Amino acid sequence: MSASLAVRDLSVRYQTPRGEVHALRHVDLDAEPGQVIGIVGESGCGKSTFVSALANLLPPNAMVEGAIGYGGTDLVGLDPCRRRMLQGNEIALVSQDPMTAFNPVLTVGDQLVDFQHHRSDLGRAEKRRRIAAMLERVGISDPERRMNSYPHELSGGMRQRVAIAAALLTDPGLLIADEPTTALDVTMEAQIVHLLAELRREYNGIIVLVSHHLGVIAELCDRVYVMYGGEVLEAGDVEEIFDRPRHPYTRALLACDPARFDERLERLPTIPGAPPNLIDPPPGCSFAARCSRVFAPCHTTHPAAKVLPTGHVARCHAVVL
Amino acid sequence: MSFVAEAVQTRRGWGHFPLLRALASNPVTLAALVIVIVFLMMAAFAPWLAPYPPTKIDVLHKLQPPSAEHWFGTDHLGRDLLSRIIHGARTALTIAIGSVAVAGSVGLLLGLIAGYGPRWLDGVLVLVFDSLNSLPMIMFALAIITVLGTGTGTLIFVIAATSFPSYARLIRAQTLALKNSDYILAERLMDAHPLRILLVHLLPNVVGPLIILLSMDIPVVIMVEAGLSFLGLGVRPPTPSWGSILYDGYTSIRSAPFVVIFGGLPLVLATLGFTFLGEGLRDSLDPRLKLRRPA
Amino acid sequence: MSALLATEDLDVSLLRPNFVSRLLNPWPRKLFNILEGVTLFVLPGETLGLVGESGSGKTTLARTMLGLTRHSAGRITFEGREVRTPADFRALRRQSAMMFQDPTGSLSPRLRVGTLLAEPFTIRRMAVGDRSALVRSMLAQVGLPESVAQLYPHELSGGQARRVGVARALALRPRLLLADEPTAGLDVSVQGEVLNLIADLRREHGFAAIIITHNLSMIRHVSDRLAIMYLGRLVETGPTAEVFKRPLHPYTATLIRSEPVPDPRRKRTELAIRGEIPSIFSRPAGCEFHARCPFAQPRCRAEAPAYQAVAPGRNVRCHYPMEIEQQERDAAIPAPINRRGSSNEVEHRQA
Repeated sequence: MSASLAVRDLSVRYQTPRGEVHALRHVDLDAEPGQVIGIVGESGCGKSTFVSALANLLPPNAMVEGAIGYGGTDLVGLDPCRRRMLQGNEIALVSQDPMTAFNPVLTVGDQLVDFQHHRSDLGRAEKRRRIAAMLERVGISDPERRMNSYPHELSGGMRQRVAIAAALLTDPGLLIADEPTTALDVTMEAQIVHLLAELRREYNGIIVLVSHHLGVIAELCDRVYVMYGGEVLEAGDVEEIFDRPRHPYTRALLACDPARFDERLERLPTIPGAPPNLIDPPPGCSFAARCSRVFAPCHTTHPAAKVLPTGHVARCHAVVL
Repeated sequence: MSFVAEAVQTRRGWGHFPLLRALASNPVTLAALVIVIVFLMMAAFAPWLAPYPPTKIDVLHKLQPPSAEHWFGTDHLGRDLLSRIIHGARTALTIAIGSVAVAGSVGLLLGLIAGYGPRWLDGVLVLVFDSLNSLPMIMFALAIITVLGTGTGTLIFVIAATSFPSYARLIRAQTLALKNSDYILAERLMDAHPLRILLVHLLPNVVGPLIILLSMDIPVVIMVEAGLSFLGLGVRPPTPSWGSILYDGYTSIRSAPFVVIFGGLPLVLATLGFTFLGEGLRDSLDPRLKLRRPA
Repeated sequence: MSALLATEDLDVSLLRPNFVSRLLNPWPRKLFNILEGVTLFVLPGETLGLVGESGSGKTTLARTMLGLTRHSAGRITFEGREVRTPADFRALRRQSAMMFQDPTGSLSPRLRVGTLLAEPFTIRRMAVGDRSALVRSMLAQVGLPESVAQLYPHELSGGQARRVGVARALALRPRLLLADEPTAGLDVSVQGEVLNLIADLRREHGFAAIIITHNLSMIRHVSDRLAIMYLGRLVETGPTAEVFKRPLHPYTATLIRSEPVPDPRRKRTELAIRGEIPSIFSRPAGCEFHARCPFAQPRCRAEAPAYQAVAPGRNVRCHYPMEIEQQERDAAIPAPINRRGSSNEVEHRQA
């Protein structure tokens, strides 16, 4: 099944002994089937909270406001039982460390059989055939033998392939890949990126790819959301974001990536300062304290999201139409 | 650097006794804490709290039911039961805390040595732990008491000798897990003396689970002491002990059941108190159970 | 210029048969070499990048250089003198420092930052006079506020913990710094700050540095020379710029091409490398890389290539280093270099 995703004004707050953490503030996001959405940002920017909110994995001390519209249904308003039913079939998650996603005492094949428990129309043999076909599709040679392996017998790259196969088994309409290559070596990363690039041609659902690695985002995504301090500061098509970034934070972030420079730099570019405290977020722009183009209203007035003719959305006072 | 200031401030906000405050926040733990403090007071101030000397025999008033003069009644020799229970607390806690402290320190020391020392020494020590663990405590106690005679010191020795291996194994496992961690390697690279690594860097990081285990073992030792005294292997007869009170009451259980009831009550209360306090300690010390701040 | 630290044909094996086990078992079990024939040097004041996938032995090499892991064959020399006995290694460690991968994990968790910073002096029983003044100056040197001295390691952010690590490592003015993945787990902006800090301090104090990493896009900006490792062996060494411009070993070339480019118009269709790094327990015969090498010849499967000098300062362990270059040109694979910025006006903000 394929359905569109429409996140509206999504906010998440955590109750902690130190106070209320505004982990996610007023996030809007739209995705159509077949699109790959990239979410990029540094640690603490709200990426993982956003993923948890989508995947229904928020801890009990989280308070959610706003709407996650999926195929016309608001997931936030749904009662927990029906939400689980819907999500089990429709939303799949590939996490950063695939080792923790598998039970260490069961073989990979047995676990993937269990992943299809909702398919009561299929017999065990049929399920195993589907698994073998899916493992083959994600580039695992000799899938029959691999199904009898235990998770620890697989290498990191292999486990990530199995995790992707597991996610695709339920034929989900929304596949969330949370830092899928962060724990891998460059060569493995290249292979997983290649696999995802191949899959996206045949897959007709939505892929949400979360990464702090700009190269991976540039390689795979159609549309990019740049997050900072729990907000989306800029969103746009991938070429727009990388070639014509409008928000000062996006520019600074792109400028920091050493992979963009071939000649040796004497000093690597940085963004001075530290991200804002999310317990007491600044009243104005969350990037104001580190911004090079800061002017009077930035510290006091929270910038509204401006839609630019290019399809860009930017939350900045300095951006004019 | 706003979050630095915030972190500093939060620590101040937690006050000087964050552990005590965390313990008191749970009503069951708070009740346990009160019980434990009451027993500790009883043990510490027994001579002043007890209305009669615990060994004063008054055969004329033997097996008297509770009255205004003798709140808990008297036993088969006419001794005041309340006074014997209060002094019994002193015996029980001396032995329990004494043996747990001895076993804990020996276990900590040997566990650290086994975990961090050379492989051959580890092998020897583990062999010692295993052989001591395989001794049945009652048989071992019988043998030791035959040689040394009964008494508080003997009891502490017997209990400590049979229980320290499990503490040592715990500390050894913790030490083995930490000895290859980056911060220990970093210290080794700076050529820190092994003693410094053991005491400054390993000890504070392995001692937490031991303290929890020790506090949960105190009631076990109280029961062991009572059991041994019940069998006549504990403290010497005139010395009051909860176990011997029970034994004395046991012979007259039909005519005077209150002796067994009042003799058993402190045992039950002390066991519950120390056990729940131990669990409260574990809940507030174990970092895995703490609410973590989400990223 | 003569080398500061050098290794010659260094082997590290997993099972080191000692006297007793040889008596008990006259036919010792097979040894597995984690490191094999590593010949490497670092000049005074230079920065050497040590690059490879996980399992390539980079961390083991660093630990062996400082005597945390014992080598089974070969020699280590420091300023021309062989380092062999524990006392030699102690002397070597006195003049060097190492930073471990996990910035928070390498700080003792129950000590405050102030105590941790003073530790190098405490351990060597050096008179420091006013300890708090010393801690303040060390914090200032790495750009941290004084209040950090009161914090415990878990209260620090990754970048702050890394700075504390730098301050501790450089406290005794070492002549050699070994940094194992100094930017692992840090955000790009913080990564730049840490590397700039190390570079500044290096300029000021003139120590040599060995930076272990798998992050090629980072290392090209900070190292003078590169050494590429594969399965416990060096496969290529050379000046950084030259290695990036003209990689001689196919493994180096694939590593460089595997790095994703932050440019949406340069999406790759070809996969540079297939397969995974083999295990040291089943070292392939011949050249270890032949199973993954796109240019493997029959000779590569049979005969292990020697580690040979092909140009001044450039060594490579490959039978056909120059021919590979030719093949690459023939295959017209877009060169990995020349991704110099598109015309966008990104601000290169300098710290």
